[in-house]
Amino acid sequence: MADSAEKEKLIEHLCKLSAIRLSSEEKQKLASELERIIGYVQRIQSINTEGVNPTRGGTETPLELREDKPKEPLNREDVITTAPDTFCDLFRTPPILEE
Amino acid sequence: MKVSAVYATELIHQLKSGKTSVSEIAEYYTERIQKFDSELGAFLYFNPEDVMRQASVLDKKRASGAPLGKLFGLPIAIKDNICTKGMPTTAGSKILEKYQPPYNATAVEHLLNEDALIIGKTNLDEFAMGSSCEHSAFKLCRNAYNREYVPGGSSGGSATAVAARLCIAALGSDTGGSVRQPASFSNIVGFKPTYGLVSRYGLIAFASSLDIIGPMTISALDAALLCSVICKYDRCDSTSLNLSIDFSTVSLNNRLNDMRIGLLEESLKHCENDVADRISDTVRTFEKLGARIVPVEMPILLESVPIYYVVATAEASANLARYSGVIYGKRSKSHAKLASEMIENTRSLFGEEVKRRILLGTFVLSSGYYDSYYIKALKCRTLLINSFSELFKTVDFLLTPTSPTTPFKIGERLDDPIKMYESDLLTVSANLAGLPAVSFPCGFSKNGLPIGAQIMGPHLSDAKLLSLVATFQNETDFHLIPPALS
Repeated sequence: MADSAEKEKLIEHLCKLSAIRLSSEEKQKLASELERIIGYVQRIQSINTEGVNPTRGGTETPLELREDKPKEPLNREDVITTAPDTFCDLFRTPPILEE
Repeated sequence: MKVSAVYATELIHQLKSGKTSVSEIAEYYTERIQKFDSELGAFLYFNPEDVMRQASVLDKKRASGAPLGKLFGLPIAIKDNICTKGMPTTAGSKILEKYQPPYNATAVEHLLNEDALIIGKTNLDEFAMGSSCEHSAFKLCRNAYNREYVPGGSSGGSATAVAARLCIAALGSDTGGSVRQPASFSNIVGFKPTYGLVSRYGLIAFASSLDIIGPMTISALDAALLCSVICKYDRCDSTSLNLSIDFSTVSLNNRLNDMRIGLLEESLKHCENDVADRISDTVRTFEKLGARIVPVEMPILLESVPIYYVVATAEASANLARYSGVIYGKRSKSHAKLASEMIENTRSLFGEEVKRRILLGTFVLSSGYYDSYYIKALKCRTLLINSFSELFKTVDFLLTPTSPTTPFKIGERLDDPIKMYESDLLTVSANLAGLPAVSFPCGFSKNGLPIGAQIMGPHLSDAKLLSLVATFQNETDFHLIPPALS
């Protein structure tokens, strides 16, 4: 990775994509660590993968579809009690759009 | 009361025969936890009243003459990223600090159906991301054999709890070595089953194509006992394998004739001398038992850490998107005018290592880098899988050290993420290829720290793998040397 302005731009882009806010101190620290880590994982580039297909899952066994029958769902009250904020028996958040 | 049983397979006989009541056992372990855990930090949740309540329910069950489960009364600790109804499940993260899941993980449900006693929830690196347990958001966990050293990670709490005899067995989870490496650092057995053999339902997701729950025990036979309960098909996990392995066949053999064990000699060059020496001793023990040791090469295995950190962080960045403060967990207290602001505030509760991995995962998946990092890593994963298939045409199993080093000092690697990642050098390839792998005690370093050996096997060789270790443990007594606690 090139100069520090470019590094900062990249980290800001990644923060935006992952909804993570960093203080300027954290940003600086993580930017230089990420640069090192990206340099490290870059080693995979030296492995010859010409003509090789990617493996996307953890198992080669074809996945089984379960029967399309509904199962007893979790109890609504139990689920709603785990929410940080509720209104009646609904999840509540601040508005999505500005008024 | 003094409990002399070391193994779950021993204790279960005492419990089932009624020689000991579950309440007596519960009291014994409660006392030990109260005495030792304030310093060890193995448990994030331990509630003596709840433990005694479970014990009394089980004792009543026996009194009623009802048939008793396979794990009747055995005190088992659960890593705190595995959901337990009625007990907190924090994944070691501030973001789930008060979370109480409305359901049990399938593996926990199986334990309870067989009458296990859930003794508590154990410490871990936040979201299972770490190799030392130092990334827990709540407290430090220490190595039972020397408190200045890390217990390994991420299932460090489960490892310390089993090593210090604060429970008879524990569940951990293994994404890149998180059951095996702490088992190695804590002188116990840690087993990662073939991918898909244990349901992931209720295991808080880190990297779904790599994650699996595994037992942590004193012996391979105890690991087999737990596997016979938790390795079952589950319709709630689409990657669950619809087949069963007969773990009751796990036993010790007197001879290992005709068995070919590959030794990755190159791996020893990456290890501390003490580790390499103990592996050489292990080789001699297997030879004495009749096995044939075959030197093998597998260059891509030693390249697997960078492959792993691309795949695992990519999956983690997607899995951890759910922590938005809307449906469960904690929401940041700071006032937010808009939902987007609330989400960012809430995600500030992630610790540094988790943020680091989410950002790396986001990077390898982002436009412009996706093919050259993520897809590239998935192709390397294929090569690794192919390389294992070739290898297992010539040998039955593969022997390596579990960790290139003995336990390191608390704080020693905290400022060097890459050095920390390299602790996983010899464990991540089993996850990338979905293979079963086990770590077991094979001796100590000159300064008295535990060393573990790892054996990997082909898909679904789980029972044979555990039999091999059971045979080794019948011949050696490293696993019987407990830590000196005071």
